[in-house]
Amino acid sequence: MRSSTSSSDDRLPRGGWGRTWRLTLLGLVILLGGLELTWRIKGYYAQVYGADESWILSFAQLSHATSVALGTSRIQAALDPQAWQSVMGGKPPIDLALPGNAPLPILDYIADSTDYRGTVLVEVLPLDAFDARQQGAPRGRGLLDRYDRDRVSPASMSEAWLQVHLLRFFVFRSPELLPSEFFKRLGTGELMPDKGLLHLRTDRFGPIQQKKFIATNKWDPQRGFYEIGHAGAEHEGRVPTPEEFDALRGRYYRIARVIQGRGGRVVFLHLAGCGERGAIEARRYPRATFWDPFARQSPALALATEDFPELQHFACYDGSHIDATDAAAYSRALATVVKAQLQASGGTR
Amino acid sequence: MIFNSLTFILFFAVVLGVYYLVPMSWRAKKWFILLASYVFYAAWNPPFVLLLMASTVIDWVVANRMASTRNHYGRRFLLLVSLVFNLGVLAFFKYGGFLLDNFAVLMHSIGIAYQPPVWSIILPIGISFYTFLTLSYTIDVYFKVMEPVDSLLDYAFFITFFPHLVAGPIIRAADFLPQVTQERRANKDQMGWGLVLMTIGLFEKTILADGFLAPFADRVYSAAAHAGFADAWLGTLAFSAQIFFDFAGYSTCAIGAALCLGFVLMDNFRYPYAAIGFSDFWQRWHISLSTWLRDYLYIPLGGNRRGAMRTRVNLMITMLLGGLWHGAAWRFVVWGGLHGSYLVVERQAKDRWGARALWTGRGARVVLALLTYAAVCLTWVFFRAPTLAAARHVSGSMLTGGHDSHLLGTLGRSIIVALTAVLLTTHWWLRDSSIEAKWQAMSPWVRATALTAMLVSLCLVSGDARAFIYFQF
Repeated sequence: MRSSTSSSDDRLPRGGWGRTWRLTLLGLVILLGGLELTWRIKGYYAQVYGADESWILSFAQLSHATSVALGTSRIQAALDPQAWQSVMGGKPPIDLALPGNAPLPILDYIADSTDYRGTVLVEVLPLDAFDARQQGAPRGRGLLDRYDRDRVSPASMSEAWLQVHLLRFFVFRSPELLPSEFFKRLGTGELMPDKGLLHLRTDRFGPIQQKKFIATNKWDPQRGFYEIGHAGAEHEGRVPTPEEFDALRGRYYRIARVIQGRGGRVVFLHLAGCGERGAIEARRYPRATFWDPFARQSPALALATEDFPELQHFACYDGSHIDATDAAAYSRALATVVKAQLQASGGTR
Repeated sequence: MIFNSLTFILFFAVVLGVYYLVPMSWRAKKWFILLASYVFYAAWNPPFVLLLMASTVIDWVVANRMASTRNHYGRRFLLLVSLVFNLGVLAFFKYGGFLLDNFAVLMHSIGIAYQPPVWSIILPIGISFYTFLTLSYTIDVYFKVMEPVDSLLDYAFFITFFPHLVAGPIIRAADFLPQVTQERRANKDQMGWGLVLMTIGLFEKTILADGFLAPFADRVYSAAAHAGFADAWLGTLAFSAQIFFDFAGYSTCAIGAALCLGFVLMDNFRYPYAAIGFSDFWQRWHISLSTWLRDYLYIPLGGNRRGAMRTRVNLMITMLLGGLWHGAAWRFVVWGGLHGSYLVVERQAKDRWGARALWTGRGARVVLALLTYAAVCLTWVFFRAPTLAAARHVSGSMLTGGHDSHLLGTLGRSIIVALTAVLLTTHWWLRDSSIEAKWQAMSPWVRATALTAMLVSLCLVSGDARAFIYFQF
């Protein structure tokens, strides 16, 4: 039976296609090229910050990885994967850290829903990791849900790859620079997005060019950048009660035991803040109350960088992140410490 | 794979390149497109391509056996095999959970505590669409409307052709198979217009439906219990525009992609929000489904040949089942039921007052079109709301008013009103014309400006591609 509707073939517009499409392509190149140039001149750069797809792609590599890093932007900026690999061997670590994020949901997933047996490097930033509200957890859970959905679909994974590689080359595709984000910022008083310090690459590690900002920000070696404000560190989240803290670290310990039980290794890392921000962190989460008891009873190796002199001589700029020029040396030093400590523990932790 | 993705753009570029640049026989090209169509389908979830292949082979075998069987009962048995297989697969994947849940409710109502097993079966994408394709083919062969196709390749090509595979248009074998027999090459007009249609379709879907309208509809329907009169209406207007741009956008892309390969698919939308009355609406909205339901359900039930009462019953059955086809939930049945009721009432009104000159004036036609649109919007509530209770609340607010909770800001309300006004005006403007005719009248500069604006905006949207609404059906 034929359908009763006519086909669209008999009424096609005729002629003029070459000119129409040539003009269209010219307009497209001029407009998008001009936009790209404008953003670059204004100091924005191509990177994958804010793109969930890059995290999904990194997670998809987990089964082949020998080491994986979790935590916040602090570890993303501090680790140079090649430098780390040169000391630790194996493959370069994969980065599953999320800026300002609690690692627990992702650790739970790695422990319970994968058979990963490599090294898990967990940056424990008390502000986020011990936050009683676990404010960062929903983001991790959301990404894991998306990963579960996408991993069965080759189209979704290839789409993620293509999106990430577009971001890698074109500034105008940066999530913060898209028109929809400008609409959201209407009325907030800050129409133009922050240029940001973290330059995430497609492997999600990202050097921070902090020295560039010294010219425009007030800085001294003791305080770091001052007058940049640390409202987040001061006010976000809630310090847990002793019972809540015990419950939280119990979750970390359980995860460590599960991964160790199948031959993997877990290293908890406390990358101390510095300057004014470090002082806020130390006040809200005193080491003696939080990190020390956590490390003492941890079934896995737990290291605080401030305990190792070889990790102390790196300049502190924004109070939180290692500078791009120091990342490789810092990573080598950190890897040397971790390697030595793992050997010293004799595989018992 | 979805049209609004970089993956599809890359896939389509490769398909077009190989199709036109690699010297191949027509048979080899058909194999290539068939393979590409399986890749297109498998890219979503690879194992389900086997189900598509099984459905294709079974119906091809059944139809050929049917043609060679002279025995009436034998033919009927073979038709039954096709119906049971196709509808069985559809029932299992799409309606299994729905049937179990309703069975549990039924048992509970007679005092038996029955706990159904958890139904976590993934719905194969496009199953409702390709099931209707294969069904129409075997039914046509059974009624000797057409001869079965000898070549399994041609038949598989018809079922699997990637532009229409996952969300239609629900093409007919008699329309499409003749196109498969001879080599197809798009001429300049087909290629040029095909690319324009794909651009328009992607713009409708990505910018208008997902970018502007979906967030407002989502905001209202995610807080349906708090929606007052204005929010309920505006949220529903946003959804009515969203679903049009979403689905018509998909169909436009599908028609455009097929045209670039030299194939012609049937129109699926013809400015439905300018419809005057509900039978007119269904001749303009999802045309390939409405004509399918008419030809394979309404007419076999007796259509309008068995008296007024039977016609009304047939209309209601057709629309209720049409509603259920959309989704395994009572909301969709109510949606179909509302449309069935509208059609019944309209038929009665036409019988009684249709001949009066009052309705033929331009002003009256505009009023009737707006009334039709408002009534259609009321049905969309049941389509969009997450639950029947939410749908009842929103439709209640729309009909009887209620405290307004300002779920949408002033900017949001303005955008919805403006886009709705533009949509309705455009539909009315094109109602008795066509977009092709309007395009033909434009200068290349105007065409290029429009295309550039659409393409630039497509390049500046986030990469979080939303699936098309009709993929869930």
